[in-house]
Amino acid sequence: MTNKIFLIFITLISIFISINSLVFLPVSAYLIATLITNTNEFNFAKNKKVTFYFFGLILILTLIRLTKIV
Amino acid sequence: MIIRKLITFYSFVITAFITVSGILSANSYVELLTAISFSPLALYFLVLMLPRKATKLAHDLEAAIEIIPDKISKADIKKIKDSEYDPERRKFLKLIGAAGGAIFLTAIFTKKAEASFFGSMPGPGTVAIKNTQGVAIDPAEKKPTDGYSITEIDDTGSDTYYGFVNKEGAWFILKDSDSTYRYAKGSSLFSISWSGRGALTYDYFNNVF
Repeated sequence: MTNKIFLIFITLISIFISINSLVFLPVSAYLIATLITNTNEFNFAKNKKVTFYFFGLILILTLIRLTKIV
Repeated sequence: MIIRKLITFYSFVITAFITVSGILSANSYVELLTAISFSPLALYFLVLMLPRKATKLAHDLEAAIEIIPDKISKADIKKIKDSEYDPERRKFLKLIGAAGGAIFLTAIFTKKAEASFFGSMPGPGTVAIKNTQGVAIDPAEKKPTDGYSITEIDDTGSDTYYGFVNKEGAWFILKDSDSTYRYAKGSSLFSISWSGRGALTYDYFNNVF
């Protein structure tokens, strides 16, 4: 269920970006196709470590940028 | 299968580029939050690009290899089953390398790379014009009197009249009565209105336009 909600969330984001940029269209098309076909390739529970490292990286980049903005 | 991998790879490169470049070039909190909100997309495609576990892969390969037993020797099967040998890992590293190279080249040769991704949407490199109070203003804002040109002037009486017409024939007349300015406007027949300018109803600029 969490995976599904996450997928819907990122699909909405991608659609929003696609409205403004044609380059992003395949991304939203892929995500919509995944939603429709109910593919279970993505599993949050099995990739906790990757998620942790990824958002750690995002946090570091954000902090670097925040120091420049402030 | 290859097309699917290509699309996943393409999506990963684009989303990762948008997220990282968006965060690093953000100039305000709003831009920073927008860039961070794109990060789950990059995470999703990163997870899809990660190699599957070796045990599952070996099991799949074994099932596939059993169909064509004559073409592959038992020694090769043993090599493939070995957990150290992971062809998916090699592919993944190649993809990551290609993605890094592509982003590097884009950063060098494309001066405004974000225009390809953000289109008309304000990207991280958008420059806004602000007034002296620091409020963002629209430089393309049009005034109601834009396009009108001076056509007639009457300064013989106590009031001075200025007639303006645009190329569609619409007009407005400015009346200067001892440093107070009032306006009257119409959409056509300027000559007739100018002849009867004294009888027109004049009002403040905000009431007329």
